[in-house]
Amino acid sequence: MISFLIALCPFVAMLPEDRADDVPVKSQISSSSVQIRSFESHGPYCGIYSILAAAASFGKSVDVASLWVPEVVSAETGSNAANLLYGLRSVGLDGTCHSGLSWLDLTENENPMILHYRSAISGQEFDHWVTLLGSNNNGKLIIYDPPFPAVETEPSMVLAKWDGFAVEVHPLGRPSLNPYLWQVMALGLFFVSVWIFTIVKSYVLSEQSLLAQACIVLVVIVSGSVLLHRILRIGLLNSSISVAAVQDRYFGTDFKEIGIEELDSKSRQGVVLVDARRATSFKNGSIRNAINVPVDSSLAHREEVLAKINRNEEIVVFCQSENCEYSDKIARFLKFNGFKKVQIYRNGIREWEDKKVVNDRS
Amino acid sequence: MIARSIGLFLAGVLLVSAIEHAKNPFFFLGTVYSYDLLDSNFGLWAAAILPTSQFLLSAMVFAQIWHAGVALVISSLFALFVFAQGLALAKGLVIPCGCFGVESNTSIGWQSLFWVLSLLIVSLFYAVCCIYEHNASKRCTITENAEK
Repeated sequence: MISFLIALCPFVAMLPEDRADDVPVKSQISSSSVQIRSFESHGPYCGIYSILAAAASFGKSVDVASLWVPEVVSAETGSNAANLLYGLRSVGLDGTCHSGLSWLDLTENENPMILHYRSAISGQEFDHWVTLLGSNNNGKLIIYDPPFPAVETEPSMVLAKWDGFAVEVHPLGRPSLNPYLWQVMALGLFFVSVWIFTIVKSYVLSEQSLLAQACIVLVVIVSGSVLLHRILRIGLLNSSISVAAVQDRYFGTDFKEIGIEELDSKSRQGVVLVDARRATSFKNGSIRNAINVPVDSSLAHREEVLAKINRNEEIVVFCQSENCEYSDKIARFLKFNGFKKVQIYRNGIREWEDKKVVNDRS
Repeated sequence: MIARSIGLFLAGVLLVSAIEHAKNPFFFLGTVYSYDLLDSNFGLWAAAILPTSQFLLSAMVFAQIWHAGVALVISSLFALFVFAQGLALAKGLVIPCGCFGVESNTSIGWQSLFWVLSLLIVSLFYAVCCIYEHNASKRCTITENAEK
């Protein structure tokens, strides 16, 4: 099933472009309450794209026009769960709503799921739908979020943006998700823990002082937590990028910001300059001696690049312009990973280019 | 017998809370941050330790191991929850309590504070009973040893 879904990914990824010509304009939509703002996934049409992707994963060819109805997109902000169910039934599929799902449900479920998501990693609201097409052999989840192609994503990254609500897509009357899987597994683990503690109990002395007992309990708790979050792939101590994404949401930027003159003098002093833009932008030119830690780079790539830098060194992060958020994200990532002197050059490469000090790398 | 029943009740509450929080550790991390009590690093550690501690404490109550120490730590945990909710209420934060994971949409208010305060009182009673029992059994052991 998983390999089938993976095989479908390139096709699914092409959907938005393929269907763009078929998409009706505003006047063709019967409800005046539906307003077309853009064809971005973060607009009101993420629900439709999700239905299309789920239908494609079942090999169904869908007439897109049939989904451009108010019953599928009922509000200016987009579709709700009832709209998705209507849309799925109109394409010959069925859906089951589940709330309070766990990370285990994401990795173990065989059917595609439409996940309730945050449209922006630092966004406060769950205002978006994406389609989970399955997982690959490496345990990564395949997420389709138009206009981007289907991508393999770390489960932790999905968890950082998901509220636990999902619509499981399945053929009529054939849901496969067991909503109690998590509870059963957790209770199983609980009884194993009780059994282990019962065995341990027969080996420990009962005359320990109260303080000694409390200390032992605290040590067991802390070491158990650290072990668990180190072992599990979705552990908080194992997923620094996802943790940084959550931190980004709750903590304002508290980095020192510097101006162009200060940056110019710092760059001459050999301060580490980090360009947070994507690799393609970096190749077109950046500030002299800057290194690239793209905002969309993998953890492995970041670790490789940052391994050469001392954590006590001064680092200045920048991106395109003052409206660009990439530098904040990378700065927070650096701070989280122990780099102590992180600063931001807020006006970015645009101001630097205006001053004609770009070292053209191309 | 009463203390044992109270212990099992508290263990049940902790277990349900732990299972719900562990469903999505990143959602729970967000809940911890939304209380606006800890900085990013301490918040991370709190989010990592709290659900596991609830789970392990619950298992320890069921296994009846280190019961006096466990009761003391459970009381401290509930005292921490009361403190966090009280402070959030005093700050006027309108945030979900997050007491039982993603699905608990109850906002922090007098109702949630009353609930956690009740649990604190019950856990203190449990701790007193366990400590009394612990001291009594220690006295018994000492007397037995002296008689030998």
